Parts: sequence; structure tokens; C-alpha cells
Amino acid sequence: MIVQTWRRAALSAYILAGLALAPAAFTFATTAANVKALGVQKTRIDQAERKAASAADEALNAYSAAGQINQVDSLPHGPVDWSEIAPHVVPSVVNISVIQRPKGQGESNRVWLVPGVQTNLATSLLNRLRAWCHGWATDDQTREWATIGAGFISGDGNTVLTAAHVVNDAESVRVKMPAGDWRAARIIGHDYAQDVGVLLIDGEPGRPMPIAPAMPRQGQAIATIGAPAGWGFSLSAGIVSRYGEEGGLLKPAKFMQIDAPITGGNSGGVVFNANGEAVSMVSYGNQPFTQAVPIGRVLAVADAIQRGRRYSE
Amino acid sequence: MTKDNVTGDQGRELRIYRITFALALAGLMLAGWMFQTAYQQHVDLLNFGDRAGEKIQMRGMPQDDQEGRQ
Repeated sequence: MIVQTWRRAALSAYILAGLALAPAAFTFATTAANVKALGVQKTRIDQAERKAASAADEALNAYSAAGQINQVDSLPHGPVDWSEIAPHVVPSVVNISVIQRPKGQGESNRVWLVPGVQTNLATSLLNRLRAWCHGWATDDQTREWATIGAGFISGDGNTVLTAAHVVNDAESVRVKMPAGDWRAARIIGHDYAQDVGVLLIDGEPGRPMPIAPAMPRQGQAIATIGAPAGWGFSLSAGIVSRYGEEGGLLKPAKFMQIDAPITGGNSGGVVFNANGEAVSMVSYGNQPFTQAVPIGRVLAVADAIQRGRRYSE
Repeated sequence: MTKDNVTGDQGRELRIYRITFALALAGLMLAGWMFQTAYQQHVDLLNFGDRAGEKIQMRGMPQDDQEGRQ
């Protein structure tokens, strides 16, 4: 009797172990390989960032930082009264509200863009387990509109330009016009590397933002209107801190650095000069400074997107 | 006490079953550890990988060999 009991127990445990070990080893090997692939890519990214930062540092001098390599606005400017200028800009600015893509089973996670990271049955099951443990389905069901950025009207009056990272993860986009009405918007396209996105809005055209013929000099006054922390149509002012090639988060490119108070929600907002003309667009920051994409590049990237091409300098 | 009730052959058999059971149990524990570690690694992968993937997008770095991309 006791022998039979042990025989059954041993056989059952043997079969169970055999059944469990194979998928466990497969799952373990998959995740270990993915972790290794991610590590390799993180090293690659770190190296690229260091290289870009070093190159930008080498290329920089006081004159390039002052914007003397650009065609700059050399007109003298006196004290600026933004209360006079802002009303001329406001009709061209919008707030952007999005519904984020659903988490689903982790499909929208950008880890799958990392070269070498593989997906198979094991990752699919682990995703499902993670989704179940963290209630992703509930999160997806309770998604709501959130104002996470700003933009400005361009071209024909139905085109809105914003930062690509504002709409990159969006499933649906809507735009709050200066009069307070919401308009449905369609994403025409976005170039994440240049941080420029193009939207098309329904209804009556808005007033396109005038474009500055030249860039402001270092130290000249600028202002921006955005939705910091979702507080729409908020004005903040500062100066041009410098011009320089930035090799931080984005593809290395020339940026205008400004010191106007800016936080999440200002992204995509237009930066304008003392004449109320667009000079750049808010991209990302390292408080209290913010990198803004010069308006010439914003328009060139938007044009490339609208033509279905990829922007190249 | 129970051992007193089994014969010599049964005793050897019993020893083999017990060893098999212990080894199988160790195998099951190993499988459990591998599942647990794999899950933790996967969670880290989802968290840190999302940021890395975003950087790749933002920097416009080439996304070569996207094996099994979802």
C-alpha cells in the first residue's frame, strides 16, 4: 500500500515536473534573451547620446549660441507688453486633447520596437498575466479625454501643427479652438525624430499663425501659449537663452532654447516673438529651460509629412 | 515503523520512488523559480523597454531586425 502510494506520488510529480520544466525553460530563455537584447540597445543609445552631446559641445561657441549662424531679427526691441500682443496670437492657438491607445495586452508598449526583442507565445502569456495582475482592462475601459498639449493653426486654417510626442500615443484626437468649441481632428502624420505632428481639423478654418521672417536674437523676448498641466490657453514669457545643436532625447538637430516657464501640456505650443509671429514650437525641456523646434524646420517637416515624404535636412 | 512492514525488494523500490519524487519536486521548484524570474524580467522589460523604444523613435535610430514585432 505504502509502495503504491509513493509510486503514484513519484509518477505524478515526475510528469508534472516534465510538463512544467519545458515551458518554464522556454519562457526563461525568452525573457533572458530579451533582457540581453534590451541591454545591448540601451548601451547603443547611451553611446549615441554621449557622442551627439560631445559633437554638439564641440560645435558650440558663444556666437553660434547667440544665433549669429541664423538669419536673426536685428531690429531693436523695446520693452514688450505681452497683454497687447497675446490677443493677436490667441486666435491661432489650440489645445489638444487625446484618448491614449489602449494598453490591451501590451501591444502599444514600445519595447517591441527595440531591435532584438522577440515576441512569442511566452511573451504573449506573460503580457496577459501582467495585464491581469495590473488591471489593464479596467484602465482601458476608464480612459478619458485628457488635454496633454497645444498646437497652432497653419496653412489653410484647417491644419494644426503640434509636437509629435503629443499625438504619438493617441487613439483619438480632438482640438479645442480659441472660441472654446471642440473639433474632431485627424492625425495626418508625425515625425517623432523631429517632434513635429500634423493634424487636420473639421469645420470652419481657423486663423493661421503668422510666421516670423527672421529668428529672434539671443536675449530677445519670446512667449508661448499652451496648456501646462492641462490648464488651457496659458501664456508664459521669457527670452531666447541660446541656439545650439541638441543631442539629448531627440535626433541631433538645431534647437532654440528658451527660458519661459513651461511644463507638461505646453508641448506643441507656438513660441512667438514681440511681433506676435511664430518663431518656434515647444518640444521638450530640462527645467527651467526648454528646447523649441525652429519654425523653419517645423514647417519643412510638416510639408514633408503632408506630401507623404520623410523629412531630411 | 512503516518500513518494518515492507520486504527488502519493496524497500529498494520505495527508495527509488522517494528519490524520484524528491527530484521531481526539485524540478517543479526550479520550474516555479524560472517562471517567477521570467515574469519579473518581463515586467522590467516592459517598463524599461518602453522608454528605450521611445528613445529609438525620438532619435530616429534604425530599427533593424525587428524579430517578432507586434
